[in-house]
Amino acid sequence: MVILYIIKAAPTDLGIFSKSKWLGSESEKYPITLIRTIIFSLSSMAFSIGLGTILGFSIFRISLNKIQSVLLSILLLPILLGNTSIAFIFWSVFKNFQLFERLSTQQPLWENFLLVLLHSWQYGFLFAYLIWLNLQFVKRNVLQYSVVSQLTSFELVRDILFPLCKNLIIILSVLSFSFAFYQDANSKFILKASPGNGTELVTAWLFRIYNSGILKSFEFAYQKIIAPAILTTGICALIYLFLLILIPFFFRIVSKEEKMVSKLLYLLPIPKNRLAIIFGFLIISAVLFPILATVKFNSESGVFFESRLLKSVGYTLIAATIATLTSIKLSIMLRIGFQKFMDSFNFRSNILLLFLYLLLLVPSLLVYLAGYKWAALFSVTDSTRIVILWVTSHVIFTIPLLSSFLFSTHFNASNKELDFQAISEARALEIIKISFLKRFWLQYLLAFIFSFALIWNESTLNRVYSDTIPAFSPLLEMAIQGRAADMEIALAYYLISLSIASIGVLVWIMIMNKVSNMAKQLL
Amino acid sequence: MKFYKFLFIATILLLGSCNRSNQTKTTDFLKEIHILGENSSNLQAMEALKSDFEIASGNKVVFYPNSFEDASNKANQDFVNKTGLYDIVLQYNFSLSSFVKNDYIVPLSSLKNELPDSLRTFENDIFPNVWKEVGHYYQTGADTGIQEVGYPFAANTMFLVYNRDLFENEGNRTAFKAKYGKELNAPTDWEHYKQVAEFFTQPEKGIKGVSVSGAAHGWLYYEFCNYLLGYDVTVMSKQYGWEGNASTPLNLTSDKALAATEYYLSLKPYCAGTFDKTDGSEQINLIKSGKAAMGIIWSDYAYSLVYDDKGSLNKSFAFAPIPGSKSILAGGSFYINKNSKLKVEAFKYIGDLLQSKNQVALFKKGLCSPVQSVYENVEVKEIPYSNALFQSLKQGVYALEAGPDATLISDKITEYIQQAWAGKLKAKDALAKAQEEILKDRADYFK
Repeated sequence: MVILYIIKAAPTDLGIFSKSKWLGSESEKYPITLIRTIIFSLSSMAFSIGLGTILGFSIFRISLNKIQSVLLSILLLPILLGNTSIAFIFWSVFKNFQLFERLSTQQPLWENFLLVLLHSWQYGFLFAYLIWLNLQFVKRNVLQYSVVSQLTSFELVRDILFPLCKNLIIILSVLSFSFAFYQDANSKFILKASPGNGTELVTAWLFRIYNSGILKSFEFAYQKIIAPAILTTGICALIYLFLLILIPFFFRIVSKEEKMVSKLLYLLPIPKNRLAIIFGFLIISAVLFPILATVKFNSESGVFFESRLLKSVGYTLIAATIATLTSIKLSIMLRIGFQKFMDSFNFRSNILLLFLYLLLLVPSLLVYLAGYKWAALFSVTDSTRIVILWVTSHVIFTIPLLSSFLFSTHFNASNKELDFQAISEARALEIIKISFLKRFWLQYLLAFIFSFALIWNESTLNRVYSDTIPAFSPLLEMAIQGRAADMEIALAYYLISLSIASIGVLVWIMIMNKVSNMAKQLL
Repeated sequence: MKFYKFLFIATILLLGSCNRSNQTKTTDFLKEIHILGENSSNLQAMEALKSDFEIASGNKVVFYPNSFEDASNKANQDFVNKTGLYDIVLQYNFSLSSFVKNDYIVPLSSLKNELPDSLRTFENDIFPNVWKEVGHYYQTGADTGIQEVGYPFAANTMFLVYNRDLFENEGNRTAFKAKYGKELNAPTDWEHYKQVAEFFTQPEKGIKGVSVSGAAHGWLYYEFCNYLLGYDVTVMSKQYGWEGNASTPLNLTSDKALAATEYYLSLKPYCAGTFDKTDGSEQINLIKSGKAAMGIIWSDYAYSLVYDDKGSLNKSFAFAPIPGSKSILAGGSFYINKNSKLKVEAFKYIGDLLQSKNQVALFKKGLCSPVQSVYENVEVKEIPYSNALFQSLKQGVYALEAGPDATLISDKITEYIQQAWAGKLKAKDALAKAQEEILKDRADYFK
């Protein structure tokens, strides 16, 4: 529907793509902003994946049957907190440590690099956890082989760990890239991004041009942004596809170029058990420190109970459930229906993945405007319809993300296995139950938790419908910035966010505890 | 199993707490008037005092406070889609052009008869310059002749706030007089302002003389225009911000504008915080925390400086108009949605708000009242910033752009002045670039 709306509303005059017509003095600035965004996104992707991979490998020896594995669930906190809360955390930390005053910097390079580090903090630890979790399901005989064969760290990584995590790393890389490409909260709240200080990214640029044009009329503003928005979507999609091709190619190089990589990996030996545990605690501390420091810095504030958000929690649960169930069904159907090429990342599966993910490559401004159009179409004065629209919108926008994650997870259900079941004339429901539901139930539950966090923390559609369905993200944004900014209220909202994220972590800990006990029993 | 039962029960409880309707029961009220505006002390004051009107009229008033960007976009989308969700929209004067030319709102003339003359005496009591600046526009279909479009909901300006304790400290007063040969009072001219800023810049004590807003999205631009005004120059030469067209000449490359900019940039050594990260809220934080001795702030921020959450008065800060004999004018108006089904009720609510008694009550809650007689009230006079606000509004003139190209001009000035502050451009080049790009782009906004 978003894409149809864009096509319908877009100007038919192709001359609109001529720079001189629609951008004026911004015609030179848009390419610079776009290039800055691409460099930032690729850097963020590289850093977060690099961090996640190194940390994930460092702690992989912490096994599922150990209590420390349960505590690793804390690494989920950043993703569950969401973009606005993360921006508030680091805004608070930087302010209290007077970081910008100490650096005396108005250097765009440093500030953009800071954004890269923040992105890596937000996603790197999550990636480490997912890689660790993925490695926990490695068969014991494979690991015993590595011990018996006295594989070096390099050989362990090259021959066992990397191949096992290849698909996961690929999908996390492209997800990380797309999150960074349209990143807005950190640059808006922490850097106060602007073209003047060289930190403006493409999302902020689009909103700025749109808000400038709205003083004349909506049509004028829309005409100004539609061409660059479509162009941006196209370029983002191309890079996304390119990454899906390049990263597997990189894996092939790494596995062949022993000399090139061995020297590097010599410096990064895979820690043994106790060292892995120490690493684990260090990583958990790195996650918890800024989160808890924010509470400490603002501890004089009071806490209040925001009852109007209870409604939102309920609706979010409904939307998350529908989105997760639909994503599971969709990704299973894709795996079975396109069995021949949906067993790995290859050209055809990449195209399918791109098509699935296309909606999330559209700039948030267009989603924002489409949200208003839908509200008008569905009679915005009727609150029941707005609730249905809200739930439906969030389900539509969450499915691509969840499906992509599950898409790569289902690669682990091999073609041989599915062929065997077909030959054995197993019924479809049996195949789904045995090869997918029973095997990947943990990933499905994790997907549900992610789904809840994504919808709860979403800040585009939630802003559109916030008058009917109070949303956490716009409320926190108003408390951080603007004429109603109030640190006490901001902290109170942050604590609400932290509470909900902590509940998510606790739920996951309970699940992991159960899995850990099951693992102990198997031993 | 217990875990799943717990999850199931928790889910049911949560869902049970959900209300199908976003509206409280309307059985006790005849109708609901929906009001959209930027979340600010002005809007919060109105919301705090709505109950009297609700009881008297039998109509419920529902406020939808939003961020500035969302309030603007929601208003525009409601108008464009003709959904009539909001009966009253509180927007600033730069929306005048769009709202009038696109025929989104109901002009005052068609509703005035809904209120008896006795209840419209406030019209003679509104600051005339304020009303002309924020609530008038060209006659529809013409570029000359003006019409009343909306009543002001607030009269905003920017004024000086300074740390009273620092200024009244005898040691400081003696030292300042010894160094500059003047009394340490609220600066009344720009040379004095700079001397005070220099005097209070004591990095070893962690204090700077002044806080200057240098962040994007209007903050730099609004404060910068005060400095332009101090040098008797504005972006264009006109009477009201909403006036002008594509061929109205700009003054950014004039000698006065250059002198004002160079003066502005010379404050850099005395500036607290990180310039391009300082917006209105951060500026208040710097002043409140004692890191900056003074600053030029928006009048609707003054309430938060003077009163805490419990309503206790903080007399640590004093206020004065900005140096010179002129102040900037800003603010917004009540706009009645053309697609509203409650136009008359909405107009009556606006009329009720503008009664002197209610304006006094609102002022005490943080509203910057556009009604003059409010400032003669004894209780209002006791509020530390009321006198400075009154004087600033009295001497207020156009200084901020309010035409369809307002945001364009704000963005360009911000972009290049930030670069000048960072030392990447000289003042002259910054102004020249800003003017060049504004001239290149603005024609489209007037077609």
